[in-house]
Amino acid sequence: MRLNLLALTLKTQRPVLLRWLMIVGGGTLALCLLYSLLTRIPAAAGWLGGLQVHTLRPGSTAGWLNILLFEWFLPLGMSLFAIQAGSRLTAADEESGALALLLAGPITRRRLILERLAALLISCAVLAASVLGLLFLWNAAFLGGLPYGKLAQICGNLTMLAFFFGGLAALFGCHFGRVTFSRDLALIMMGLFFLADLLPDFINEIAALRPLSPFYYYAGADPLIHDATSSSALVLAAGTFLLGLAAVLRFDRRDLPI
Amino acid sequence: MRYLVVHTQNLAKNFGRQTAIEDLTLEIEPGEVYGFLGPQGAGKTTTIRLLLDFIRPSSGSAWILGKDSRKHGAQIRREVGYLGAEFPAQPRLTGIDFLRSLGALRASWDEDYTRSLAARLDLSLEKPLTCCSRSELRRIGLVQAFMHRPELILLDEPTRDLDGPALDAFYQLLGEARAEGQSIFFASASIGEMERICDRAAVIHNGRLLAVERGVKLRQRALRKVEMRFAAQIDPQVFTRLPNLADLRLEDYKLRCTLFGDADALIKAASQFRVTDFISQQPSLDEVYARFYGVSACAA
Repeated sequence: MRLNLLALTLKTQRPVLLRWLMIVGGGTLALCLLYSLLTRIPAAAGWLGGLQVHTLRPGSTAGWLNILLFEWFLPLGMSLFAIQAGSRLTAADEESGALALLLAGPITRRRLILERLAALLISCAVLAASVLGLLFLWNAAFLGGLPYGKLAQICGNLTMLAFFFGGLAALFGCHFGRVTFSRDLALIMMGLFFLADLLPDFINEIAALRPLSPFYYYAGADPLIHDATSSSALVLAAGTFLLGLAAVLRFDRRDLPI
Repeated sequence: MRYLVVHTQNLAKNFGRQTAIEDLTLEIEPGEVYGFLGPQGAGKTTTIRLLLDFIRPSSGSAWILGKDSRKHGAQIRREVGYLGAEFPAQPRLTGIDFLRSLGALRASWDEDYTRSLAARLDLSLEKPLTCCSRSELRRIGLVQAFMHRPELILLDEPTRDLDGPALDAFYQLLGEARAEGQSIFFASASIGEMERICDRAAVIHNGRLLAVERGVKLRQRALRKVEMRFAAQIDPQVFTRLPNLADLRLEDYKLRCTLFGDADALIKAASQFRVTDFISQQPSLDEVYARFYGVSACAA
């Protein structure tokens, strides 16, 4: 009985998760294959080898993965998925009226939101694990030598980052009870956080903003180049926990007009 | 202490400066069909939401099945069935999938019993919910409210969108539920329904309780707008002497009046003449409120 709601939520989210698995997995695979292709064409490989983006060199495997996959495509793609799913976590049922039927059953609001947050976390982890699986396959087929431990750690951080934004969207959904508004607000926040992490590379004066961004704690240490820092992961985890807690408390205490 | 299925004590709910419910005290006995009569905006849905702990009271308290509705919400709802005023259409689910998903949250769910309830309401559960008519959605809502044999069933405007046979089947279900000792809280704006099925009814207006009436008294208080046509001129004296008529008007061969309670005397009086037509209509809730409680049913 205890896991029914979690299983039900995962079952309901399955089509959306499959769609995002195709988007995220397909994008990851395409970028990996593009790298393999470019390095096999001498002219392209030469051009790629001469490129430098700050301290990173996209001509190296780690540099390519850091810049294109782990700094842009994956954090943004997975956060978008989590925001979409998080904003619907309770607000979609509140808008449709289905929440009344669920909460008329023998479940508490806390259990409902906690199990749905758990389902969101599992979905984020499944996405990150699929990326990790693809990278392992790519590494085994074309490269060899990628640090599996570091890849696993950064995928763990990806899960945490996505869940952070999912939790943020869920908090807005729990507070406002409106899917579109909550999603858009979380997207704006994500954009601002992303800029807060990106712009200090170009404008030194705003470097102090960087620690305010979850993106900084997710990949600020470039774990494929340097050693991943567990303190960054802990900060991200603490932020995620606080957001989840706030979502639970807000949903538990609010009048639900259902 | 007397066991009450629903007991509210000075329950109040404000939304900002607006008072939705004020000082509401209700007592519902086990096995009772309890009506909650009021026009749109009177506070019926707000009261049900308070009972189910969807919203929290500004003051006062509610006990359902002997337990505090705020502290033991989940425990209480295990034994409660609920049908809201609006029923959501879930995309991609068939009726039975939808009921299974709700049943999976309850230990006492029985698919065979659920299907038998659907059959009684002449309902196909294999159809996607998005293809169901409003009447079918309402009947699925009724099935989900009854399917786990709850001790208390809270129904908010349950007959909305129900047609003749479904309505009869629903009344039959209510009767059986009462016979089995289940209690029913039935919110509606129809005094006709209250007369027909309720043991008692609370009459609510602008969030305040006006009266709690026994079913018998509601039936006695039943108002009918009656219009009769006769084949020839009639003697008005025959009708003016009748005790339970008001607003009597005679025009040509036509009689119009308001009838209170029993129609026996009127029909016996009319039988002295040749009646060519007989129309009986229920008055609006506004008229009932104005006549018996001295207020307008329109929410302020």
